[in-house]
Amino acid sequence: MALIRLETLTKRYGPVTALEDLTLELEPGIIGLVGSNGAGKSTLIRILLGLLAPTTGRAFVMDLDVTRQGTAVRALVGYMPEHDALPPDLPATELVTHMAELSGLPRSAARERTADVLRHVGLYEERYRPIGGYSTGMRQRVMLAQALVHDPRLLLLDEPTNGLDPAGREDMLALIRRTGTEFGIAILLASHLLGEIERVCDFLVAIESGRLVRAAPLATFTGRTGVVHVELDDDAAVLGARLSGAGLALRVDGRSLFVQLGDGAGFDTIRDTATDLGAGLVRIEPERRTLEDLFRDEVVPGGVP
Amino acid sequence: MTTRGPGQADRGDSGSGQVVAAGSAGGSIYDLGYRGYQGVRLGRRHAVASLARQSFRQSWGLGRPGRAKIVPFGLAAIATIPAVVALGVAALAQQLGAAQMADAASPIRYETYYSVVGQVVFLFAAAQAPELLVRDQRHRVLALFFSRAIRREDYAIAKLLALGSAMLLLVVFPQLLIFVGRILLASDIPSAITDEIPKLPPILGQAVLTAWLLAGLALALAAFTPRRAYATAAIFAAVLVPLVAVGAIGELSGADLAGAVSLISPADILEGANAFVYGHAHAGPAGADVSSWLYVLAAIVMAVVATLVLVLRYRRIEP
Repeated sequence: MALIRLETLTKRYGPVTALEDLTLELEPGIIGLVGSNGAGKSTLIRILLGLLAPTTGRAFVMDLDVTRQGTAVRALVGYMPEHDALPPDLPATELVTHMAELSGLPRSAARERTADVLRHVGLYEERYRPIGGYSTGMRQRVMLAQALVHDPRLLLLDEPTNGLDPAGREDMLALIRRTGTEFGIAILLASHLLGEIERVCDFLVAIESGRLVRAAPLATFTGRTGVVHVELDDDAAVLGARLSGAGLALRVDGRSLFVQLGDGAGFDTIRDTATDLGAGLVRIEPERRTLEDLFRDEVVPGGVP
Repeated sequence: MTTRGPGQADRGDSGSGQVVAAGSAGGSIYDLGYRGYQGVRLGRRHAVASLARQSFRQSWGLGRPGRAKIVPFGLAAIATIPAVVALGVAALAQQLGAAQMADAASPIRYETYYSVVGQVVFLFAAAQAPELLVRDQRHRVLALFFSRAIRREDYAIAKLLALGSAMLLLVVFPQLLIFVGRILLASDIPSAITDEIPKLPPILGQAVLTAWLLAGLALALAAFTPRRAYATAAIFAAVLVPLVAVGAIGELSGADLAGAVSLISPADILEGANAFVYGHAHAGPAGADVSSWLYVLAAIVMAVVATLVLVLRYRRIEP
């Protein structure tokens, strides 16, 4: 059963096209939805919730049609909007309990789950105070708690680190990661920050101007490049010359060498040569591609289906 | 197209979370275990009932700080005082042996009770309808409501049920007080019960119409603004402007036109409907002669239209 299935999904707002002809099938996991602001991430999430109707095409969440079975979909999904959506006059515990009931939990179960979930996100005594007095970090936690309280199969998180400071961002990302890996809740995390996606997700969907750029496991984006970065504590020219002599393709850059390795065998050559020369090795490290390359490359082969 | 096993989630950079973990900033998030939920999931009906119950409490300021209770309970007290006074007078008159006379002279009976407390009931709607709706729009809480297991129209209907029943209570409670009081004061209680029972249907009928019309109208107007003051102003305008206009038209163009126009004035409609349920065939503003059933019809039409507007508004609204 596919977690999310999109069939030629298109959404237009008058002359503006927010999503164009998206066809995609995603399996459960932690999925990053990346794209710049206005790329269509929020529109896609709102369509998956049945909050927006697609112009053409269809969308399914766990094989339920989001336009026809919206209520059933929303019972299985937790949603954290990108904007603050909390009433200032209610304590977190009351809001979250109420939200649990609106997802179909009986009152006593709603209370119990609220206590569990607020503890899970790290809210303790504050939970009994009105939300109006909370910090941004606490508010984001309440938003995550209300999305989790009914134990959904899928969490839709729209820019969950909005407005958080670096420490709060780290906490939130770790919390999301843990929620996904340990509790088996599938997550679709929308963000314009590649670093966040890289930290948390295993699978990545990139959209740009409403079109699918690429959908693939994260490893294929950031996988090894076959280049090894060798750093010395002194100029690397001599070692570079010796390694070239040994038949390795490389580039010298000050104290660093970038060696192209066909297979693992080259590591030994580098180590032994460096030992012979008595060179001070700082590190030998495989170079990784970063997600930024994805957008730098402009056209990614095999992206659009 | 793209598939992948769940086993790929092996980056393991957040730790496997034994007891403490996951918070780089001083470990502020503790893992005390997350449990799934295997219990029952009740359906949409439960969700709507819960929203209605919550909103009903909100309309009385229950579970809120004291100041949220001042307006609703203050208005309820004002609406109830005439009933208490009337009962007091009746009890006193009975002791003095003048029950018959006091009963005949009292301005406060079922039939006239709505005229006495009509303004209070209207004020309740004008104050509490925005209370129920405005916050969710203003702070964008609708996004959370609409992403639960309910439909958009459920939200509107639950709010209408909540405010409607709060107002029903407001209208009926003082009259029930009179009802019970009259029975207890009577020298022959069983026969008093038989006398008073037939008065319940008109009391309830009139209260249901009043609650539905005013709650529906007030909510339909409040749904269009995220500002409480605007909502209250709009509700005042919708009820008072036609009321004053009917009066002015009566002065200027005569009672017939005023009678016709009064059929779109909520306050006049409710007066007319009140006349109908207590058996008066004719009603209408000063001098006008309108069949009173027309007011009942007008009340129902207006309540239905207000309900539809409310529902359509929430279907279209962008959370």
